[in-house]
Amino acid sequence: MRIIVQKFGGTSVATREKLFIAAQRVVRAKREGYAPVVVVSAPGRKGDPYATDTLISLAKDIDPQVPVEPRELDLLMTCGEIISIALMAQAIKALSGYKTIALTGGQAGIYTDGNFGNARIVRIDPTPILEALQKDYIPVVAGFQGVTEHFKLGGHGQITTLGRGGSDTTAGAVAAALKAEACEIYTDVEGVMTADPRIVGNKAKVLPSVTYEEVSEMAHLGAKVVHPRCVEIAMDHRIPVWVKKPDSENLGTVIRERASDLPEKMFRFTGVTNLPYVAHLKVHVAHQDDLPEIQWL
Amino acid sequence: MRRNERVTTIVEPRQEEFERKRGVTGIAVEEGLVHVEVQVPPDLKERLRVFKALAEAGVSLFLIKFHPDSIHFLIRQEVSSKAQKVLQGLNRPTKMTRDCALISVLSSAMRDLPGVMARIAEALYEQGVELLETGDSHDSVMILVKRSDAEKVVNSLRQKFGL
Repeated sequence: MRIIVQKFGGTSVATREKLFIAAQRVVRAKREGYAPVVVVSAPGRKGDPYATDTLISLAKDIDPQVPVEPRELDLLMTCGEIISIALMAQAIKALSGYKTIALTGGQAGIYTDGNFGNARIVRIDPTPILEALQKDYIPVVAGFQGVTEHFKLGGHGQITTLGRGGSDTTAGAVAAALKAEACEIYTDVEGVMTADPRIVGNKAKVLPSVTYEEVSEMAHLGAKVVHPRCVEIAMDHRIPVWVKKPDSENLGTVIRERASDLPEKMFRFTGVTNLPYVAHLKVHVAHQDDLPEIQWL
Repeated sequence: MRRNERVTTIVEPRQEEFERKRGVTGIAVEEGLVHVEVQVPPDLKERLRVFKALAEAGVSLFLIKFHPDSIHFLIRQEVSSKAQKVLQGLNRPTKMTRDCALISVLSSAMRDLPGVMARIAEALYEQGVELLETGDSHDSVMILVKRSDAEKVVNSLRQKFGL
């Protein structure tokens, strides 16, 4: 079975039209002989009705003076992705007649620690997804979420979210657990760019190939294409990651161990990043003979 | 302990779980380095002359820092004579500290991890070690010390970070 994971971000599933463009990608993969596993984010961006930030503000608006419990906030935040999986499953079925099954993170076998709001994946049980594939279903998995295995208060199965960029993380993790042939990240740019096109316009070029290390560093330094956690998982499990635009026929960028367009050990400049909203501090420190002992908790 | 051509990894990050462990996971040491301090006024044109001359001589710099009256950087021992010649040709007063070691404390998503520099500073203070330079990246905090101090610093850091 040639498994391929295809992740669609919020803007790719924000409208009915875009949903069908994304679904068409999945259908094409199926017709080309792949067994696609779809991962989706909440629909839209900040301000859209089911986007994660909108859902967060619903809770905070109840009473801004009362903080929302992280456990309850996670329950609320995962609603957006659950809406997306149901809609995407329906769109694929409507377009092609293929059988689909929508799976929450927990239903897909994604187990995390109990760190609500920024949970780390501790293991993935690929059985539910593999069983669906074997029965010729196209699984559509909610990104950004999982469930706990061990949690004292509520017991097993507390819903958790994976932190910002969590859907990319889900995609990389599911691809690793399934030993997928590749992970495709569909986004609103043609691939990993040499600079931010919002700043330099069409002078930014698409990199045909880039290494895990390069893109991880670019992501940490402000480039917003693929979340570094996804890249780290893909690197550790040797899964090639493609970055593409759903409505474009361009190949996009492949992220792998070695940039395939260059001979080994050749040096090159990859790109320019910028990290806005940082503050530079200058602290003048007087000489002290004795420092207070620091008590580490 | 793992060694590649330049860097010895004293404590290697262990990949036992599905996703990488958060927090400090390893320490690496690179020896054979020279710390260079070049007196240059805060005039970008003058500083550019220094960088261009070194580049044309094929000298690669890293951990570059701009100070009000000088620029500091690291070079590898094997190019130090070439660098010295270039800087003498520019008539720039230069101080070279040889036999340095760059110790890197490693963590994925280092910039989301508070407290690392505080522990490093505490280790250096307790060991009475002179800190020559610092740097950081998305996955490491780096400190430059004399090679002779490296072992005691690494041992102290292992204790501080539970490695």
